[in-house]
Amino acid sequence: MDMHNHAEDILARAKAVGAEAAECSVSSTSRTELNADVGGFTLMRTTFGHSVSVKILKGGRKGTAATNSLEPEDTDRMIREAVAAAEASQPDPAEDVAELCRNGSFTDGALEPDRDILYTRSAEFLADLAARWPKVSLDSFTAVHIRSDRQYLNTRGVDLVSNAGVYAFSAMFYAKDGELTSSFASTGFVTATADRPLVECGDFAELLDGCVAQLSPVPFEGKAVCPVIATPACVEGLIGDALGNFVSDVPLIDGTSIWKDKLGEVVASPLLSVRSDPSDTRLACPTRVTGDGYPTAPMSVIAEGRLENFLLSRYGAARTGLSRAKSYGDDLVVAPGKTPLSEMIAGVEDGLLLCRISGGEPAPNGDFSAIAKNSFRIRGGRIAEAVSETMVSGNLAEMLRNISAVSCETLENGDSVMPYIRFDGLTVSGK
Amino acid sequence: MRTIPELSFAKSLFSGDTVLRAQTNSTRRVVVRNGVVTANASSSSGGVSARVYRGGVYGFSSAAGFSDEDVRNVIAAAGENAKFLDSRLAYGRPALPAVGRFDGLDRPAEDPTEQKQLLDYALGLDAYIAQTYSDLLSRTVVVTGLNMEKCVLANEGCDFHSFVPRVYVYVFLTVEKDGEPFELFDCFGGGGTFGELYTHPEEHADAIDRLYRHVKAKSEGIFADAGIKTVILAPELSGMLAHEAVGHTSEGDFVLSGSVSAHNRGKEVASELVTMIDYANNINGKRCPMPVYVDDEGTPAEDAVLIEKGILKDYMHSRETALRLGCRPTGNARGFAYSDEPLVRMRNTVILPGKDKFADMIASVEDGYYLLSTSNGQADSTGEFTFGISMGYEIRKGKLGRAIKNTSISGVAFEMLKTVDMVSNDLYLESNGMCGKKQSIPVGLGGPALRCRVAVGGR
Repeated sequence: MDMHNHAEDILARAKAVGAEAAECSVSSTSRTELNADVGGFTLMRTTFGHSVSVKILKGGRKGTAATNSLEPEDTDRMIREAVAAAEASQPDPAEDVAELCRNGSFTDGALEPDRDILYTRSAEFLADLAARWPKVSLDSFTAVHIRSDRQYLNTRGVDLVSNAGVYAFSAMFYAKDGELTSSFASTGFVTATADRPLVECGDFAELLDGCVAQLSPVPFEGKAVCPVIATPACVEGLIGDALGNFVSDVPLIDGTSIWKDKLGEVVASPLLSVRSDPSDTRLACPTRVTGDGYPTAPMSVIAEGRLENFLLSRYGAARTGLSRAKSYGDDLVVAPGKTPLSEMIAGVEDGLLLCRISGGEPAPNGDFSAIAKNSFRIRGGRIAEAVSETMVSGNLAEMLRNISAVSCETLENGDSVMPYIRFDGLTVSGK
Repeated sequence: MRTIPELSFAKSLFSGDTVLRAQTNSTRRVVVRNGVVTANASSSSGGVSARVYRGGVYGFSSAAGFSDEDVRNVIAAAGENAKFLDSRLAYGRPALPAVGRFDGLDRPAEDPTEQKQLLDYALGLDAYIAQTYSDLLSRTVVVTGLNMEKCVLANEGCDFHSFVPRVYVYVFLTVEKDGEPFELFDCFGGGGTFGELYTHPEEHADAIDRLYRHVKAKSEGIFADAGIKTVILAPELSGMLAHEAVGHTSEGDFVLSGSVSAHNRGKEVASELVTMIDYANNINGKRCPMPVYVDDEGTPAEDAVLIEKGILKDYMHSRETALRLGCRPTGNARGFAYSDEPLVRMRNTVILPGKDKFADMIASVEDGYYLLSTSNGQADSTGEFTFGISMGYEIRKGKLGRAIKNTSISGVAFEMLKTVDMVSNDLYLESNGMCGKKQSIPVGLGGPALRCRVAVGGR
């Protein structure tokens, strides 16, 4: 199937039914996947699919529709649905399609799957697990090669193509010893090459060790305000939540972001720098083309605590009168600090090593509370007992201001690059 | 999409234990944000998939189409995939249990809804909110529908054609207090097509007024006092408790890997006031919000009694987990999209009502919280659960007091359920959420109000 021709044909037909502007995205995805659980390999799966979407502007009104079929009658139906939706809608002056910046084609990773590599790395992981972590029970394991090809075309001349192929490995596991069960832990790793054993990648080994140490956790006693060192995986979630709440389209369009007037101002500790950076070579499969039809480029979001850019799409920018982001926050890289992790831990008299949090979504103002999972007490500058039934409460914006150390070590999992961060002023409570 | 008679030729291509599924998921979505239509979309995604079982492993394949060639290709590829794994592993495991036959169509696969109906409804509701409440910082109305149509053909099970529509309306209100935003949402709807569920936007006026009063109270609210507290969980929360705290740990695959339910079968895990069932398709003759008559392995769906009067009785099963745990398949194997393999998933997980009156339950609490609504929840292998609380009130000396800001609650399921000492006599059912377990899938859940003790987050 020629994706360019298919998209071009859809745009021509959209114009023929009166669209003043239109955009079309045609993509195909194929997956070669192996699954395993506690009993070993369970399933091999191969899937192949398409996705076609069209956005039509007619009289300033927007209608969108999508199908996974390339058949002419389904394409006709999709265009009719988009036109009907637009005609039933209301005009929105902020709606448009992307203007032409730079056309191009981008290719990343290993486009063709190597079934033997997928099987060998997976079998090796299961063998390593049995040999080195006999108390660990594998709830689920997925090894997959994903090939994605996408063509974006619009009526303003934008023509962008991206082709990518990556191997992604993910596992969820916990430790068992008699009737003792640890909390589950899960992690993943994305790579273009799959050239190393999985237990040497990302934080697999660290989490597997931690899981076994979690078999006899101790509830946190009482309530205290104490320092918390968040692991890179935990930092990724917290930073993602903060960006979603404070610098993305919806809170800025609605006016609910507490950073809406803070562009150029200090919003975090000078130790914090966050970039959305598709050019970082440590990322296996960066986003090359945004959903709304722009090639991405590296962009600083927070530089040494100062808010430099919002993560606004074209529509978000038009609605708020602010600038469109060069990249929408998919490829997050947090700059390392200068403190070794060992020194960060040694500097905590009584606190937590926070490895995962589980709880409600943060409120629009950043308030959150969540259970500490896979986490450990730090006592006298050393990692002590695993904790259970321990709640952590705070405010995302305050947390980012109360950073007192960032590690020089980072976790590179192929999706993002994150350090350990020490946050002060969080409330920790237990039984 | 093709029907079972049109697909029946494929059975001659089956080798061994094979299931063929043809499926289309159709969605509609409209978002009106402060009077502006920001999303106005429909989509349809369908195709065929096949799964072949061979000696203890599965091969699976899917294609985005319904042609004879697509059917032949996925059956052949699934067989090849099973062969690839079996040739390397040679587990030699026994055949999966056969199941009974139950062929048919559960309801006509018809939905005459047009996008304009959703748009007009969302705009009408938005206009009502704008006219009625002048001090909102932001308002958002979302109308979203999902129709799932499936044909399952199995040579060791049933052939069944199902159509499960659901439509929900979500309303988000945000107010500002001292420069800080406070948001709350509610949702209305359930199983059925748009025309079956909705007539005019003002039908939700009382519910929106209640939502407005709650979000205003929340903006004046206080942080909860952290610690173990006596709480009244509203019926909207007890379904989440059933799903997260017990349901996940009682899924057959999770039991096999050693979840906390694995070694508690037959033991007392809750107060005798607690009975919990994963219903297949109807409760007392009424269609459930997420009905499953035949699952995606071709197994006729049966109710699974998880807890009966405080005793952990049984689990939820696919054919394989039933074989490995020596139980009967319950029809819980479901896949979300045509390209998803079936996994053990909940259907309609419900705590049964008791005999207490809700007002008496509030009056019985000397010092605690009434928790009304949740944003999301998660469970753990240990039975430790947590979910976000987006609305709640203090209870002091049997009376409701100040509202509280967002918080989370947590506990260890089989400890916390033993503290349940009052259960209300009403039952709330819903299916607006999606459960994530490799694939995100709609589930039904529900329950009555419960009085119990849980850990409350706060400052």
